[in-house]
Amino acid sequence: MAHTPYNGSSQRPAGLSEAARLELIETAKRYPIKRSAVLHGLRLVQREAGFVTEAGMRDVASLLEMTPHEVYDVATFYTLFHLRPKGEYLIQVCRTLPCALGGAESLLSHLEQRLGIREGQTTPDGKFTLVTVECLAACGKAPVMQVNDDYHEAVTTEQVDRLIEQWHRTPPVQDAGNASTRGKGRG
Amino acid sequence: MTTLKSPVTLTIDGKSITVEKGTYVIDAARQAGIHIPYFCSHVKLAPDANCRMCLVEVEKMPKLQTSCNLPVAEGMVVRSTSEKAEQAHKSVMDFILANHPLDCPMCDQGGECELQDRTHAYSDNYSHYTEAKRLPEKRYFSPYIEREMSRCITCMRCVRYCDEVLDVKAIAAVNRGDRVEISTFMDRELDCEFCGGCVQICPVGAFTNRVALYDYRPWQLKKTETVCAYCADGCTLTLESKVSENQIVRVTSDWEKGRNLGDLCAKGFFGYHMINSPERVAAPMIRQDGRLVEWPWIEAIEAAAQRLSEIKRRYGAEAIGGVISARCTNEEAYLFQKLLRLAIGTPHVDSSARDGHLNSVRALTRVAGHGRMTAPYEAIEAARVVMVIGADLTETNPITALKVKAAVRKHGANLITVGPYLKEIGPISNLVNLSQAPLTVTPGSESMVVRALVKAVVEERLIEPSVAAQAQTYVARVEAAVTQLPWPVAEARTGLSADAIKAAARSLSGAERAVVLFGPELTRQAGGYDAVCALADLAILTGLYSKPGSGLNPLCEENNEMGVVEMGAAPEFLPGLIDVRNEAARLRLREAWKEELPSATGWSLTQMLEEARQGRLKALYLVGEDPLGSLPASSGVRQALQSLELLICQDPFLTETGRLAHLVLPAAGFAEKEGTFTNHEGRVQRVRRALEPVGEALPDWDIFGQLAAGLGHPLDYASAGEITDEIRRVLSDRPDGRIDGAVMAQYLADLTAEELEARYRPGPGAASERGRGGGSMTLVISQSLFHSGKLSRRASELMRIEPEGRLQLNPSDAERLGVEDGDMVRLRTMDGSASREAVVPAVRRAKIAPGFCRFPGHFPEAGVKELVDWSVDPVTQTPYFRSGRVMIEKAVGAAATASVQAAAREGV
Ligand code: SF4
Ligand code: SF4
Ligand code: SF4
Ligand code: FES
Ligand code: FES
Repeated sequence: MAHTPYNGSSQRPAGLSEAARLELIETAKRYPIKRSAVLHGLRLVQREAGFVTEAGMRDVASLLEMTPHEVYDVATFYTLFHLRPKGEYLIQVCRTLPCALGGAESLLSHLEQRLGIREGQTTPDGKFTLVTVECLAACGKAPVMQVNDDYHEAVTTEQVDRLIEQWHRTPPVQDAGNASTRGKGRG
Repeated sequence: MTTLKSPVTLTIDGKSITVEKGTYVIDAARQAGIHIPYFCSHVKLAPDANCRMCLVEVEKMPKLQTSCNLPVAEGMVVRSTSEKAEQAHKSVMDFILANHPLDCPMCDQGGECELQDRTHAYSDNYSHYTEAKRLPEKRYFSPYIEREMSRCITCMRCVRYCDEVLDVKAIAAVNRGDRVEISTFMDRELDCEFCGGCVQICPVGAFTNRVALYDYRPWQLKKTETVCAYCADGCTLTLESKVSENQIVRVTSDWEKGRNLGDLCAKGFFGYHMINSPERVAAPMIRQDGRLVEWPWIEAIEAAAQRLSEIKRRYGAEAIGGVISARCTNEEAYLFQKLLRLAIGTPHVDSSARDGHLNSVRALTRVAGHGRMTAPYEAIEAARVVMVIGADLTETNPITALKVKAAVRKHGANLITVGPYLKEIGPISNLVNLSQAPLTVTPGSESMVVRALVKAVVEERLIEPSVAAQAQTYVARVEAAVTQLPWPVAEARTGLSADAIKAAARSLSGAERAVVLFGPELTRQAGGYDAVCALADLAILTGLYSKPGSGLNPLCEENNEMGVVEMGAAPEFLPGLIDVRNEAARLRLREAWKEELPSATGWSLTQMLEEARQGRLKALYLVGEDPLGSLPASSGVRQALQSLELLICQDPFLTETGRLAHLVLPAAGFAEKEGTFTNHEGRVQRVRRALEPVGEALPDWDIFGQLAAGLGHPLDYASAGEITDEIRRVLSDRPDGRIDGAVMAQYLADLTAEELEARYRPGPGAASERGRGGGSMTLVISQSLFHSGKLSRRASELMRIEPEGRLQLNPSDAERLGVEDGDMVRLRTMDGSASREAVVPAVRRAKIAPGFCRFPGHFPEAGVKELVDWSVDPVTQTPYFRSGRVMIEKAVGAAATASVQAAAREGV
């Protein structure tokens, strides 16, 4: 057993950038206990790397005086944190009851078919990741899907085809890691 | 019934109950003999209320309440067996069982499973669920702990225990909802303190002991409650054995019992294989033509008696000496000194407690009448300020460390750690992390810190008023003495600012209840005796001896160091810590024993070795002691042992010293005998026999009895219990945790200005600072959490957890040397023209201060012990061989001295 401490200065792949580290240290000062800033730390990691990386979690742990196990505990609790690399476009299809009644299932299978991947997978070119989520709080316009920060409501298969065409042509606006819900209805 | 501070009366299930304010309903019910079902609630943990099993109906509350986190209120009416409550219990059971597999027949928890029991008591005998059960993927977790997540009921007890009690936080709840699994960062192999607490606290078979996997059904095991034989924390544990195989299968500990209240360290939980070790000596052996050959007991005893008598006849009884291990029971130590003092007639009797502990006993007995802790574990936990000095407590005394952790984490105490240590978050907990203002000092300067604290106390007028009033002469003398120690010198030596020292002194003296714990880095370093004397001054002046709930606590290493000295296995002490020079007390003992005892002060272990070299000591009787294996060659131990005409080694194992012996007598291990151990608090605890001794081994006390008979001087006891009874009779005035006021008054009156002056004279600096070795790094031979002396080397699981010694050093030093974890480093010392070296693997530890490095003393074959400075305390004869100055360099392509020598050694 190595019993290696978590905050030794071992050489390892980069986690947070220097700027993000400073930001996290500053944020932590706002709380009586440093660890309260863990969500912000994870958000910074995801914003920089596109997903929550191992090195990033280690950095958050060491800056906030937590064990990496504790940070991992938090990271795996929130569905808005992604522990694996995801595509440029993260397509989240709501599968909760109202959307299910509104045709979420056929929407999902259409997406699977068009993208050639199953739910939970990423296309080989790294462009798209397809996942299902619980209620996105726009039930009135079922079926709903969220793509990166944008909501798409009452989605039809034609609309999906159009969107996929468009996404293939253009890269997404960079802020994919921003986990805050800035749902803007469009319809 | 004890009186309550703020009583609250409530009704549970029609029964009126009065409890202390703040009690939770579930506990109030338990006190009244009413059982409310629960899973996540546990006596060791803060309530979490996550399982909902403990729901009760409370009048005037709209919904059912979780009784595990509901504080009692005056007039509250609680129903745990109403229809609504019972229905709730049934549905919670239904939910939990929805995902639980039915693998009880092959689950190691079967028979002691809380889920089985609750299902039996609270569940319908059918389930409402027909859906598929979740089946988490089975993944490897650890060689020591088996994880079966399909059985997990997500009560979080394991995670909470690892955090709240251990402060390790090595396991976490990963994922959410019904996908939760208890795991580690990125599902890596578990790396932690391996205390086994999560295994013990898991209510089901989700976490089990992998070392004992599928080896038992709990109800088939014989359970023997006894005391751990490793360290002086004195944990109560239950040895669970298979009678037919005479083997320990596993160790458990009762949450409500002992000084440890169920908590154990890895040594207690996983270290039991030394008992049934294949390396045990099974029969007596006698040296014949240079070889040890097995011999029948009767003849071996005859031979021992005859040779001892012969030496006594030729050279006198004083040519014989004996040393007993502090791992032996009180009864054995008591009988051993009787055997030597009465049957043989020699005053030369000592024990392994000489190695540091005698510094504490000698100093504290002068001051307070005994050498025990004056603040028991409960007081440590309740203290407002705790100072730990000269010990990396998690590594040296893990359960005492838990008490300190509880003081900080549960009760908000202010912890001050003093040592060459820094913050480090890792798989092993670190008290420095819990200290708001840790004092990170220059290695080896701990005793200077103590003196500087005393200086701060007198200069800042922080003296406890009652002491200032009653001991004016003493206070004035201390004041005069500390003027010799200018602040700049104290600052330069310790690496601390005067302000930091003064702040610590203020915390100590200002606290309502303060406890100071001190350990080997004070008592086993040159000047250890003086350092403890100075610490006693600090304790007296800050009121640690007079304020209730406060105290000065020496930490011991081996399990019965406290006991063996109190039993008189020391040349300067008769049983009951009576000074051998105390004529009146000796006469009282003579009355009790009805025999004459030698009047001379005997030789200590170190003196015996010296006298053997000089040819004055002819025979040495070692019980459980292996000086050749533990002392550095520079002590001249080999030459001393080889000069002897008779060397008897009585031990469960054949040690390095044993290989030189003329006679080897196989001793029973702690699990094979009865008696008592005294932990460092001074608690005398029963040791019980769980197994038949291996082979022909006999308990040490039994061997002493036979040998006494062989010497024509019977010391007859039919059982260890008879010896215990005699000890009780003879030592009617045994010391307890309270201090002896008369002794203290005498001490304060007698202490001369000269002695105090000598105590506070800064001198040329600690031995490690002077550094005979001439290197730039300070090396300390330390203790590891996973080992205890060399005994743990025989425990296969502990050897798997920590198989080799590694030199721990600060990452910045490692970087300077170009050393990565696992790289070999060469340590060198220059003593005049002679250079000595050892090659060992290194590991970076952020906790170790720059300029400091340490190597675990449990691996003497690595040769590191040959690099340290050897000296002997002028007052207490304590041997010092734990530190030195070394040069370190990367050893490219070199093999470890350890592996080369270990191979030669183990290849027996
Ligand atoms: S330290 Fe290890 S063995 Fe102890 S509770 Fe934590 S995970 Fe379990
Ligand atoms: S492993 Fe055991 S203690 Fe830990 S959450 Fe699961 S059931 Fe509870
Ligand atoms: S070694 Fe010490 S702390 Fe560990 S279980 Fe034994 S007595 Fe307790
Ligand atoms: S159910 Fe799909 S948005 Fe609420
Ligand atoms: S025991 Fe009360 S909620 Fe678990």
